Amino acid sequence: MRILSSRAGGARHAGAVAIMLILASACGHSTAERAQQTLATAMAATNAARDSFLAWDGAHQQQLVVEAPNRGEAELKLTAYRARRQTVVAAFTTAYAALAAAATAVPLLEAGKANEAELVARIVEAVQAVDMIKRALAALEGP
Amino acid sequence: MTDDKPDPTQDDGLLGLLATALFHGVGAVAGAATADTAASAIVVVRAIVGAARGAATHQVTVEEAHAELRKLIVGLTANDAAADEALDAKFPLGED
Repeated sequence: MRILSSRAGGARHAGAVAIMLILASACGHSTAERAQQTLATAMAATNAARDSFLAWDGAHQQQLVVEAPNRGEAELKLTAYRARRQTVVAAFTTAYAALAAAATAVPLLEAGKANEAELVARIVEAVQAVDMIKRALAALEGP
Repeated sequence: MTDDKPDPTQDDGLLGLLATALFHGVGAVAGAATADTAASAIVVVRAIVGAARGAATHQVTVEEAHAELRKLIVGLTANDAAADEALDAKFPLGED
């Protein structure tokens, strides 16, 4: 079981580009509406990645136990894996925090207490934070 | 998924474009984690697009983000407990 597919590395920051396209497009919705839709999509992607990571994590830990020849080695492998896993947890934490920060900017824009540039910046930050998850998982999967 | 096949989101407009971008950035993780196949990747992209469409009026909140992160922590804790249980079952303490 692999975490990343071969196509995953093809578009670094592509999410941010897509965000800019969406916000720049004239499709009849307000910036706030498009921002909410973008955030909902980013949240869905992050949640999907989280759920699949959890499934992979559970299976991987079980595999470490199955493959270990003795208890000591199993404990060492599990401890080492859980330490390396922290980078992924940190990436998810950053992504969810960035999504939350962007979410707070939408009502501020609607209330006239923030400008569009600020909102776009927060959304780009959120999408880039989501992109960090990919790199963290790639590092976890590596040697 | 190979590059000579149609993009599953090609008819989804800007939302599809975003989903595809997120798919390349993160969504691929979700598909590959359960099965590294083209079919699963397409399912993931469509799920993302569908979820976003279904949530067209959904407003992401700080509380929701915190709750979703909490699910990650709870899930990892459960996985750790299950692995520790498997460890004890395979190598009972005092027998190593």
